[in-house]
Amino acid sequence: MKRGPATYLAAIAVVFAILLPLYYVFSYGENDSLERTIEQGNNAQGGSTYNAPFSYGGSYLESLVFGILGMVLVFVVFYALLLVMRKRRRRGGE
Amino acid sequence: MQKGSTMHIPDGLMDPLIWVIGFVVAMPILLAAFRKLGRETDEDRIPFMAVLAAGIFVAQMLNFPVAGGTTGHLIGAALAVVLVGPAAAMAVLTVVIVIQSLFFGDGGITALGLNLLNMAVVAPLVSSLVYAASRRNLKASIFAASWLSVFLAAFATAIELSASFLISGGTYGITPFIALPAMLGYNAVIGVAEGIITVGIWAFISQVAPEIAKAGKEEVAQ
Repeated sequence: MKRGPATYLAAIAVVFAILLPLYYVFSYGENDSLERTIEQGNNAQGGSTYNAPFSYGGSYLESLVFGILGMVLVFVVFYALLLVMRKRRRRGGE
Repeated sequence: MQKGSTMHIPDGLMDPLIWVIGFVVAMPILLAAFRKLGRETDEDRIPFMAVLAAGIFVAQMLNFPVAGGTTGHLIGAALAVVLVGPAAAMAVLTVVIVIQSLFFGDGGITALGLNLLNMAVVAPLVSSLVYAASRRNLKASIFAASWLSVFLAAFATAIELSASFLISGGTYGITPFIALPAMLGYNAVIGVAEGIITVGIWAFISQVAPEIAKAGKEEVAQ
């Protein structure tokens, strides 16, 4: 990569901020293909006892904040995981 | 993003036997993919892979309308395969799906194995098989890889829903007469959008950073 990852993450966040209103205009409140299939199949979902700490939010601002939070979380976890694996591998090879 | 915000298989939908099978099948394949990545990946490529994973996370949040009030979202498996290769694509999708499930409640904990099997195993494998077979028109083969990855991931989901229904006598899952046509019908259209988006992003990256597209093709060929 020609620039640091932070530059690319910022660019993704900007594109996300621009496209998110389109989601709220055209898709908000609509079911996705799996949810539509569940609805057609009249399956009452059992639900989960697990409560996730975050959600995707219910407004533009909330979704933007949670989207960026998730984006950073994914970046950090993936990066850290791969670096740890590489280091363990290198140590194992020595 | 309240209604329509849980985009992956939730808890309580599948028969326990089916979701256990999901973990049993997906985990060894994903562990092998992570091992391969840890062994062979050039450290310089890790930041790009992590940025790609972050980008796929936000892209999956942006549902787009399909037809009749139904929406779809990008999986990103084909995009990951053509840019970083199949093993890295599996790792990228795994981290995205696990974080969606654990931190955002998108996809159930018990259904995590099935969500990983469909989107982090089936979709990248299909994409890489189609892309590896391509010789001439790369854009057409990327489109085909994208469409098939979505369609076959949806097919796998429909089979899981049907098997759950049949095993449990209707307590779990959805009858195959609804699950198969509904999932395949909607996702045949979603796959077209996935193909257009994937080809568009790949073409853009090929222009601004051709070395990334080239490295991706080499990874798939291996």
